[in-house]
Amino acid sequence: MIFALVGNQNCGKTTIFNQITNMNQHIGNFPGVTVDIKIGEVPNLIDCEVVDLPGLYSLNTYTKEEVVTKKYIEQNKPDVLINVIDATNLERNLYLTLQLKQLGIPTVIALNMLDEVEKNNGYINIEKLEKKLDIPIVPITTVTKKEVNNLIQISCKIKEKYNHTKNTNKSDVTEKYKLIEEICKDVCKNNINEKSNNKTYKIDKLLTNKYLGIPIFIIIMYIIFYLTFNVIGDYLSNLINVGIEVVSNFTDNLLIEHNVNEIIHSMIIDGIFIGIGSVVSFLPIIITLYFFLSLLEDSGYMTRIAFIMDKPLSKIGLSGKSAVSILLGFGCSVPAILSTRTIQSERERKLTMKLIPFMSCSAKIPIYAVFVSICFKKYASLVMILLYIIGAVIGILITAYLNRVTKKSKEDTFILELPNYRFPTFKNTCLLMWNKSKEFIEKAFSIIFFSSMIIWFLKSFDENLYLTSIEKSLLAKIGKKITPIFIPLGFTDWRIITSIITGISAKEAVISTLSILTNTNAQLLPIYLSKMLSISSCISFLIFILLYTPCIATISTIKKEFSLRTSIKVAINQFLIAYTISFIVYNLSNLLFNFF
Amino acid sequence: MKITSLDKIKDGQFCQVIKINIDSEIKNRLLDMGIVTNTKIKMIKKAPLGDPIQIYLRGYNLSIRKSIAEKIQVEVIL
Repeated sequence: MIFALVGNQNCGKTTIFNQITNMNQHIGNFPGVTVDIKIGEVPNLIDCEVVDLPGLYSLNTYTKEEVVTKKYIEQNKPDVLINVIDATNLERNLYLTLQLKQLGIPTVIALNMLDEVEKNNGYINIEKLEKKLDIPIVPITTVTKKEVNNLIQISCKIKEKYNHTKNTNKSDVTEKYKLIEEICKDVCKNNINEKSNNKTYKIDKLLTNKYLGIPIFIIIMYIIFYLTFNVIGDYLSNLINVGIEVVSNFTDNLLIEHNVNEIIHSMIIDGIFIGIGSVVSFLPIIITLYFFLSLLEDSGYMTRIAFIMDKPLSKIGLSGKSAVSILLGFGCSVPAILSTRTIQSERERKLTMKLIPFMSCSAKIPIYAVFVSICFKKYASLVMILLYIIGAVIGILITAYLNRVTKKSKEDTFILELPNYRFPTFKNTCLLMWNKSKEFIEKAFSIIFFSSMIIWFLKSFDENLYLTSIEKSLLAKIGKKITPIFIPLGFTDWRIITSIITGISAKEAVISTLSILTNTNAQLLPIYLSKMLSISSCISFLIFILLYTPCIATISTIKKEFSLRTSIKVAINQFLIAYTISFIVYNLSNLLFNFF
Repeated sequence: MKITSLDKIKDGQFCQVIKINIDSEIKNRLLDMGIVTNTKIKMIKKAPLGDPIQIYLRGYNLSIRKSIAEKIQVEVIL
């Protein structure tokens, strides 16, 4: 049996889904956090699945993510629809309910957020509402285990009792809303969300203030990046570094003690430990960034960013919703590109997608950290922030150009619900950080592990598979062949070139590759690299990394969401843009240094 | 009784929808969101740069661009 969770955006479907399935999907306070279908099993019930669908306002689908839901309902024919309703927003939520009722699929209502209604001194007569709608209602407050168990039980029973037929008699929108108004007048007492509304207006007085709104946004972003790179992340990273060294030394001694074969020893210590260790030590910085991004999302501030940034973004052909995708891009391009599904106009959606690779993703943080410390020791965190700004500015200029040369569409617009502010829950924030750490570690032990092994293998053996010194290795030979292409940018060492290439598999691989090739950990890496690169080529390298071809995961997401052609175009364009700008930067800075 | 377009309503003022003069998908979305004839709308504020606007209707807050609001005909409620 399949139960599908259907409801408006941001009404709490994912919270219910997580509670039913004991899974840990991320929940936000932003319309469209779930843009893909998620399936989970119902424990203790054989052959029972719950499906979490992207939210939709209406069956007259409008955005990509709504189409996903509609298609699912039409094609997979779930046995029961669980219509999740935000009780604080009854009127608009019931509109979808009336539409669902016409589908002829057994439906149960999960009337969610009743605790909020109570906090607002509101009241809903559930029995009356049940009768009026002729759909069973399960009241839900804080989504407890008991409540969802009750929901599942009732959903199981309704399948047998159900006797409605498909109703093709389509009453129009105005009629439906009229009916809803009557129902609400009858079952609701007091304005059910007045209190929380007023609180939200008070916060908005500051956050979307005519004069202060945009400065506050900029300050918040600055604080986030500053804390991430300078204060919290850096401190934790140093701690992890110490930990990794202890484990690595311990293993090293253990291997020596037991007289383990030298090649295996080298593979474990010089390949795996250095490769993975160099990346893992940056985990805290990345997690800190995600922590702040999740606060923006969960609190509801993200929608305000969309609200205040819509006007400037519309100038370059984007929508306020693009601001959200752009910010998510600072975390990882893949979810950022998926989040463009909430953008209705295909043109705006494509332009947003093309801008995302310019937003430096968190996987590049280790690279910046290492290279910035070579040449800008004192102002490291400032230079890091500057890099983000450079990426964004170049991206915006290119988007502005693309906006000029592509035809405007009638569907370019901005319609976005502004949910009331919510206090981010501790549990949800921890869940997110846990999930992101897990993802990162999984990546470190899959992609980074394999690339580390391959790099170690190629740097340790020659073409006849004899152990050899690194300068005579297979990798050196391949790397040296490609090197001439990058000489105009100031990269003359083949090890640098190799790291650029492995960086296409995953950006984390750049540092792990360099660590393996120089046989040092991330802390000592800057010292070795400073011998390979002049300050000009170091700056050039930073710019190149900032802009060049996104990782495989991103390219394949673009392929999935748009087309193969688009994905190849993005990959090539990013490379060319990076190459051109690095070339200019390298020569300019050389000129400057010669001058002074 | 004054008839005007939604974008002209002052902050904090109420109005009632008469008609939406748009002929694209956008109109259907506005209808779905509950902006139908006779719907009561409160103008909350404009974004810092003057566009988009924030309105309150049917118990929730919605943000739409001015270019859309211009095409929603409303009657001011005093």
